[in-house]
Amino acid sequence: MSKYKLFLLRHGEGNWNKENRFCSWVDQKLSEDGVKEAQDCGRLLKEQGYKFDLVFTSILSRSIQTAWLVLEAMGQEWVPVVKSWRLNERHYGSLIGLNRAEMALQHGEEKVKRWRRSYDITPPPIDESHPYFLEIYNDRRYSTCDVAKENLPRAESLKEVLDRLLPYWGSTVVPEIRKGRTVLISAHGNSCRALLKHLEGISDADIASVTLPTGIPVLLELDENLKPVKPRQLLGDQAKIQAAIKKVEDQGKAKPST
Amino acid sequence: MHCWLCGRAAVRILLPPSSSSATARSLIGGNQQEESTGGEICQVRTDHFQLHKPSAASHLSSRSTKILRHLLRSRISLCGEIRTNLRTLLPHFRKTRLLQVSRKYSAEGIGVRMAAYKLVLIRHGESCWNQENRFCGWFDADLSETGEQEAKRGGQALKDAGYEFDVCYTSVLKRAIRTLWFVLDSIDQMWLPVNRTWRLNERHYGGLTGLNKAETAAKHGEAQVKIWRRSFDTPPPPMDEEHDYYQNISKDRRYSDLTEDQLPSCESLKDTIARALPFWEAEIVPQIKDGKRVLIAAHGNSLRGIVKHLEGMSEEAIMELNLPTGIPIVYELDKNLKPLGPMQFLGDEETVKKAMEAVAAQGKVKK
Repeated sequence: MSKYKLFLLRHGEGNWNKENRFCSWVDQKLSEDGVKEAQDCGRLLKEQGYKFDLVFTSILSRSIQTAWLVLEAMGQEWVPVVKSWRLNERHYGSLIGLNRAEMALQHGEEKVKRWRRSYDITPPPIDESHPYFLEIYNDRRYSTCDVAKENLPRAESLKEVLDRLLPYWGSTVVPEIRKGRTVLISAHGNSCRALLKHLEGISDADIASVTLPTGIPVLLELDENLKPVKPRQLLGDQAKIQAAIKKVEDQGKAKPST
Repeated sequence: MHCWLCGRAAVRILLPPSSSSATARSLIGGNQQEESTGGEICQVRTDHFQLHKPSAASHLSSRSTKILRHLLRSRISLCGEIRTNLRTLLPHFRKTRLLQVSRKYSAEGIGVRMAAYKLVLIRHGESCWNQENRFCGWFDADLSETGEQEAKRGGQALKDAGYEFDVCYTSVLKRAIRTLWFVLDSIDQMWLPVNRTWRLNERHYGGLTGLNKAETAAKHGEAQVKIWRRSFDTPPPPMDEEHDYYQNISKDRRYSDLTEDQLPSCESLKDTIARALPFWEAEIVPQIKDGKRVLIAAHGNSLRGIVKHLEGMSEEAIMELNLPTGIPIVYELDKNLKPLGPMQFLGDEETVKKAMEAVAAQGKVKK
């Protein structure tokens, strides 16, 4: 019997998603399509009568923008939104800004797939010579984190994402869920995957094949030990969901499949 | 270099070239000539300064006052700190004379005192119900298209002026929240923490909620409406269970944590201010004093509460004041959170001019 409901949402298309570039910690806002995805998601959640008590997001604008659009569509702008770097997208290190297809052509689909989908292989770290280094680390928001700026990641594997996410989950999100509050986590592909791995007990090997589509709310029904009582549900029109999943998978390929 | 008055690290300041004789100069340590302008550099902290017009210095004659005279002639006036220090530095200086003179100059503040903090307020723009001229209050009306544009322009003004914030406050009504969102989007600070509270809500218009001006006059009579409009502490009739918007407002989930005493059925302006100020004191003031740059996006009447408090306005005066919408309102505050001057508006010249004129005209119109 499910006691708690938790919603995860991967933000919609950002401008770099369109260009198939690893966006990661670069702060892009949503593209027009991404805005629409968020609004559709909000409308769907409203139709199905869901009521949030609390929303968690990362400190990257696209996940915050998504949360705002969802709350707006649901008429729940008043719901508190709490932001933390610990829900940020995975840090792709020196791969940030590079086009996925180009990388696939350069290094081969397999290597790129490993970097993207392996559990504990860390991409090469970002350094001062990287074109996006200053844009990221000079941003004031990274001086407001609960970790000193110099100790923030320079690259992450999915495992490392979970390592910095889990303490936040435990100390900040779980107590709210246990109070019976309906929580929405508006975050990114990899921070959502990491959390799913933890909640559903997915193995290191299997997590590689788990893909979350953008803009599709994921409902997890949890028991009092915060274990899922049934498989995760992707809410909405099934055809739309399948198309969305395929779109994300195509991004890793050198040539988009038709 | 140390301030010779208070001993803390000094900041050099430039005195006008016309000031001080060689004698006076010699009484002050560490003077250096500034080549470029011919002025003098005096080793006193800039935060002791105000610009003023000295005139009382001439009758002071004792040697120990030459320093004071130099300062006064040099157009530096004295804050309370200096008064205290001068008393210890110049013990033989006649207490009354010193106090008289320095009190005069530090109280006047003709020039610019140093601002310790900056606070930005923004009143949301036109809502859909504003358009229809209906009493909105706690009804959660959305911004009209005009209101959205106002918010975007306000955000642009803050962006152009390069404002950075550390924390934001708003109400639980969407027209204020969305205004804040437009602003944060414009200034690229969507990641800032945002605190929402019912205490910054618009005034609750009770039984008048939903009525337009004509309906209100028809229902209650012109005379009664005039009383409500002109009164600081007479509330409108309460919103009872029969009211069209009772369920929509009083039973809304967002107010489920409010006690019976807290949840209003109607409010006078006095009531609104009385529930807004505790939040200001308990939550916002500590942040400001902690050096956090605060942005508050709220409503005409809740912001009136803050303005009345900051400026020490009377009940009559605050009722006359209508804050402009969608325009960032900036207060520079001293370390005791007293405004250094009147509120400033941010925006293009035209917008700011119109806003200032509108505010100035308000006091004159008899309603």
